[in-house]
Amino acid sequence: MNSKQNKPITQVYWQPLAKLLEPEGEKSQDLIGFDDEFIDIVDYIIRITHRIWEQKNIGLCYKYYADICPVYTLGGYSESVEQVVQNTLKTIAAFPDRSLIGENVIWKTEQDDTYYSSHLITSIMTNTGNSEFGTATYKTGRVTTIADCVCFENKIVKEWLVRDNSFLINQLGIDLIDAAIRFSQLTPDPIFKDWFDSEYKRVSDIKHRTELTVTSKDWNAETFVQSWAQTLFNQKQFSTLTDFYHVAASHQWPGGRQSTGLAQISGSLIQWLSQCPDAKMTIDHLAEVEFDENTIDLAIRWSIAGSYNPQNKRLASLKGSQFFVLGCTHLRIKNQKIIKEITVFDEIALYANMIRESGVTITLSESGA
Amino acid sequence: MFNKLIELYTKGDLAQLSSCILHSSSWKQHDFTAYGHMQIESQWLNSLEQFGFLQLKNKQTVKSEKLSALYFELATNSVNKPISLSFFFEHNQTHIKKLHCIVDSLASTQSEYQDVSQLMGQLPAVDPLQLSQFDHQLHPQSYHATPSDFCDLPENTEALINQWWNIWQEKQFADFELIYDAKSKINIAGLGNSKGNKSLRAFHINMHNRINRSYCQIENICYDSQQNTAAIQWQIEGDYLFNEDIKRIRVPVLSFITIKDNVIVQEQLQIDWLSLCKRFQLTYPVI
Repeated sequence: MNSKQNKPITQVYWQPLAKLLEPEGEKSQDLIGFDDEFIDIVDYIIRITHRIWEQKNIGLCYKYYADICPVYTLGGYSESVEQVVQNTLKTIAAFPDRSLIGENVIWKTEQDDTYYSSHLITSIMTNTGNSEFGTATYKTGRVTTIADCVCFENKIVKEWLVRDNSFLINQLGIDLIDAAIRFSQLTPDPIFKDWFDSEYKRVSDIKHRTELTVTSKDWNAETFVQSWAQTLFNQKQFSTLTDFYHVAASHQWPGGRQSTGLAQISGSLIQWLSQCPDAKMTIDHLAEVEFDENTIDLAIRWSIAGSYNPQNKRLASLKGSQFFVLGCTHLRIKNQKIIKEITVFDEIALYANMIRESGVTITLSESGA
Repeated sequence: MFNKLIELYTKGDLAQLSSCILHSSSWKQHDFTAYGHMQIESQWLNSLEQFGFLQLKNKQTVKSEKLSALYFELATNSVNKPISLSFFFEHNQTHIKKLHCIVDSLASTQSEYQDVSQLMGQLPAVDPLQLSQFDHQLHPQSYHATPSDFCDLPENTEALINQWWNIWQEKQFADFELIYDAKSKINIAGLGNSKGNKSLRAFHINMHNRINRSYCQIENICYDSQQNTAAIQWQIEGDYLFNEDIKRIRVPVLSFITIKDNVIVQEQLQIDWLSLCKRFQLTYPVI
């Protein structure tokens, strides 16, 4: 399916928006079944996102999403294109000036003739309407999103969507636990519960004690990422951080956890994992593209499951609840070490799911009441 | 790009610099990260309102292929103390992708006769930041970034900059006498100019005595082989002690070093004190 590989695939990093929206030259991928205007899968993702979100052509979802398109988020599940249209409209109404800055698209061609894309997006948006987080705050915030999509014949046929909502609401002046309490009161699609339970069991059941080392001789992205998950997240061996990260790697995790270098990254991971000390991680998808001569970009979709060990007094009654995270990570790797990591998941949905499932009542804070 | 940056602040030339900004460019100033043209231009207009249109008094450039850094001072003839601004940015010679600007915000209060709380109120809301406690000790088999990890440096310069870093990371105060010229020109944000390393040494001791369990981390280094200048983007993190209260803080720093005859003859140390106070609800002076 990729016979036209001589021309490089679009790379977003240094491209002005005008060039991205009007690409020149020959197609660099066949893209069978896609509209002829698209030169490669990155171009397809960048331009349809711009048209739907920045040009507010929400109805284009009918053109670019399959009628049945499962969309998985940690906060809920939707299946039909009608729900995609409605959710897009609601988000734009609450944040009318939302910009979607495409930071990167990491992609892969799959064996079933589909394309997999992982789109890293920074959005700037002003909350002038009521949203799932509460009433309008009239504040502007920034948020990182990763949208992993399976694309086939000009349509998105499956999507996993993660957004750093705890970082966003912090800028809007909304308390994280209050937002989770409110979110827990929404009723998710019945399929969500089945998906959540099966995913929790799948991840919890993995064997996590096998040693998976990576050496410079047999280094490849797949082995590296599996070892990263097993060694750091499953076995909690933090002295091995140096096998995975450059000594000044930058590390962005949800809610404003921003670290540089091994000591800070170690602290950030240990403190986060302490709320789920028996956490187990699975790597659910991996895509790899070249960034430049010496550097590659990896997109990872992963899951973590375990038991909740509250670090926040207000959530003490949730101790032992099913802690489950759907997350996505983009890594930039140079000389076999991570130099930059951006990890995204929805902390509000993480806590909301545990509040809803436990059935306990947690009171809103004074500011949120 | 250096001239475009200077002319933004001296002439208000937004158009020139705008041509270097991408839809995905970011500009961090006062601990707030602006993305894209709209937010970045808004940040520039705030700066012009804050500083006015001043004259360039002094500048230092550090140029390399993908990273560059610029330090300059602005003043009017009637103002004794200049305002200093420093920039560390990733570029491809045409566009700026990511820029970190540190303003000596305290100096700008002195030039405009504003009080500290008034200016702090005008600064943008800072980016959310969650700091995690970590082991700050330099264990024998643990790994910590040193200048050599970032770029290829000439042998003598590498040894000198590594020694410079040891002063901060390992608190090796004896090296001050070895690596600074006796008449070196030192500028520390908020404290002003001085000659020789004594002011820097005193600042360093005060800083570490007020920040318990402190840890210094280099983020990036830009080295200009033609001028033998270096810009180091780094940070100090630790537990800040104030009235028996402990607050975890992180202090972003930009250091500009000029080397001559294998000693440091000039150094600017840039910290945005008022943004630091705003972020961590501290009162000035911090140290």
